[in-house]
Amino acid sequence: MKKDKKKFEEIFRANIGENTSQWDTRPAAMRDDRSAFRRSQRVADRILEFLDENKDWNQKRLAEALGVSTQYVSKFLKGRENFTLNTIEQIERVLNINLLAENQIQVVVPKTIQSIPVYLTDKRMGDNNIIYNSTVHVMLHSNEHDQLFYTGQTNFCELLLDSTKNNTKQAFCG
Amino acid sequence: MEFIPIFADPNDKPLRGFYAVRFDDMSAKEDTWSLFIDEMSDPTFRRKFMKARQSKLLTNGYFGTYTVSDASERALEEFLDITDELRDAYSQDIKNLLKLLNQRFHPLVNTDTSSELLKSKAKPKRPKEPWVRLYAVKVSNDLYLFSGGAIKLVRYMDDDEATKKEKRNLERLRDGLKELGLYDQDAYTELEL
Repeated sequence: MKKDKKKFEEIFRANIGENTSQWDTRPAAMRDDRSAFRRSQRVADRILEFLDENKDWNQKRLAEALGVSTQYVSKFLKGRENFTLNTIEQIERVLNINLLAENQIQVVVPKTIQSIPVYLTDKRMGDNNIIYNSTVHVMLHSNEHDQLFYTGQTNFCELLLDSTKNNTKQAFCG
Repeated sequence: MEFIPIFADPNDKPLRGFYAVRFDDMSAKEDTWSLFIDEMSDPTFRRKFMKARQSKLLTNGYFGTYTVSDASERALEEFLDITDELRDAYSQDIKNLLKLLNQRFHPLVNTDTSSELLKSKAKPKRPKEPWVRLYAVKVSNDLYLFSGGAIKLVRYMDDDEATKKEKRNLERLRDGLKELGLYDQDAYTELEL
């Protein structure tokens, strides 16, 4: 057994390769400024959502409208670009969308909670005063004030909590 | 096939830790861990993944109702959580990492057909049925090889292309270990986290 273990280690060590993928810097970079990373991801997602919903737009047209290369557009759609406010404003102008709109729901919870899945109900008054319910499952994230908030484009006026994770003391729509 | 130290020190004796795999068809800058990070951190990939499964899996009530954007965000957050957890454990001490891996990885059963997790007596720390899954093999005490990660919205690996691909990666890894003479049936276990 000892000999086999020794042989195993010899063979394994002989096949250890170099870590050249820079994996260790990427997660660290994602972590050093987690808020900025999340923001980049959300902005990228909103642009992708727009492109999905508007078939007359594509990455090439967006690049032309912004006066940049398609490679650059592809890069920021991979969520790896720290957008400047100028760039965000330019994209918003070109696409006529709001990339940083936030609908905040403030929920007071213990500091230890970093994120919590909740169900949100979007109630809209439709024709003939009929209320339409649309329930979605979202993630609330903590901010620097230890509040949980949701950033999204759904309009809500009611917060329903996942019953298995109900630590909320106070909830209201913002 | 090469083994790439991710959360591991190749100088450790005995060998221990968490290694990725560089299969022969990967470039010198790729390995199973870097590809996993690239995919999970790419909103284009996540969005495409969720859109393709939207009607079948995101609106059928099993997970509740998710928009594509919120599903993509959930997957991102789970990915960040698990990679943070592994990284934090390793940065404290490799023993903490090994303890975490031992607790959180569960053996896969019958990977040749439909796969199902063995029921574990330990309470899982992560929420029930996380979407982001990591696949690895344990080749000896305290030595884990990461074969790949996937977003799993189905019960069995055979039920979705993404997890079928991870099954194939596990098979590739097993075959590669056999070729190198590193396959020990008694010590070898396929795992899912």
